[in-house]
Amino acid sequence: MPKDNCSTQEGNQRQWLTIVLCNFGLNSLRVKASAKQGKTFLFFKKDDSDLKLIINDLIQKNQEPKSHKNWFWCGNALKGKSKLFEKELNLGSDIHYLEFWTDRNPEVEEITIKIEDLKRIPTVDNPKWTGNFKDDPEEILLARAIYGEMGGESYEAKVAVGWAIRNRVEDPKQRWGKTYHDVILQPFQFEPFNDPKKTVFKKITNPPTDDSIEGKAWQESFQAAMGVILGKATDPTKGANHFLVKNAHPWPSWAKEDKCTVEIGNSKFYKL
Amino acid sequence: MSKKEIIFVPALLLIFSLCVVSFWKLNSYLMPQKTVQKNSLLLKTNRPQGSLLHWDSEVSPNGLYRGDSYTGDYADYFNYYQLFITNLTTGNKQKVYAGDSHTLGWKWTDDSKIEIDYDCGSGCLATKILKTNESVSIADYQDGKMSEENGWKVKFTKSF
Repeated sequence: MPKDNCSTQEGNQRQWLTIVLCNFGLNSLRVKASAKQGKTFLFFKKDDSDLKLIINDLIQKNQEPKSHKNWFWCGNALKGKSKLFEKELNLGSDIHYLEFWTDRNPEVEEITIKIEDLKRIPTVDNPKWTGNFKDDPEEILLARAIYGEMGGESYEAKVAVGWAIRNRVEDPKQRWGKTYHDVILQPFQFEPFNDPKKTVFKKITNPPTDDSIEGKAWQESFQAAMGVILGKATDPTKGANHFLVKNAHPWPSWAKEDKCTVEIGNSKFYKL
Repeated sequence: MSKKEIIFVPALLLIFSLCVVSFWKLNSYLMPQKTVQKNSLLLKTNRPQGSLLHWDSEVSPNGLYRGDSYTGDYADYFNYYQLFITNLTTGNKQKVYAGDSHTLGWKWTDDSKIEIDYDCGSGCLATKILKTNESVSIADYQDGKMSEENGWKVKFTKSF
């Protein structure tokens, strides 16, 4: 509190303290302050102490009788007592101004600002999951999918899975959705995303970023994702939008040989 | 007795006793080490080897077993994912599953059975139930051997 180093001063209606929140959401504000009534000497009454609060250019009005409407804390009404301002504001992330104006010297006892929880945007160097895959930029979500599906396979296989996903995104009939998020998060299509209890889910939600084997696989998956999204890596799947690991048997009805476009490592790619 | 003999005999005795004490001390120092080495060798065969990352640890519903999964080097293709079961009564630890990086995870299905989940492609999930005393390697199920007759259940989900 600016009490000792920047206290309110004897003076008439002046701007005293301004708090600027830059790119924060403002959830609620609580201010506790007191204001004294001016003393009377013979027939003369000294000016009261008052405190005004302005939130984003809006003066917080005082509804109490016998008080100045534009001064939420009015010494004439409070007579030295404390008064609490408490309001749920729920203002989204932006620049917010909290201005305090004083008339003579009211006392501010408490200012509590509750700001919105900051949403972290996962990056390649800090890919820890926020708890919602929708917070991921598309290159991070695609990198997670590649890392989960082909983390242990070659770079070419990683690019191939990335392209199989991109081919779904760009499907003219839009059979799987319009975005990487729609396609990757479609239930039961990309198994690494389906069950939080599985090891692979733990892997893709918190990939190591160090120089370890997993860290290198994650970096390679991210490079493949960027290559696919930016079009720097050409499509080795020839337009495929499905893939199968060769181990499983029997294969689904759609996995016909004439639909198979390419075989990369242990996987076959299909264009349906 | 000459003066030399008087000094020589006690000196010989002293050297002999020093040797005996040194041997006894050295032996008692070496013996436990030998035992430890022996035990660690034994344990090594039943423990995850190399620098493995530990992912999950879950006790069976009856509290008799604990499963621990690890991942290792991608280059050790069929041994990348390893699942160990520890008998919590005897302390015996046994590798029950070794698989490649398409292994999704595992879970207890009852007191003595585990389900292994394997990612077989887009919209494809393969599962196998293992007993705690079984031992399975994905290397045995290559090229279409991951089938029903080999105990695998393969499920496909249509995407459109």
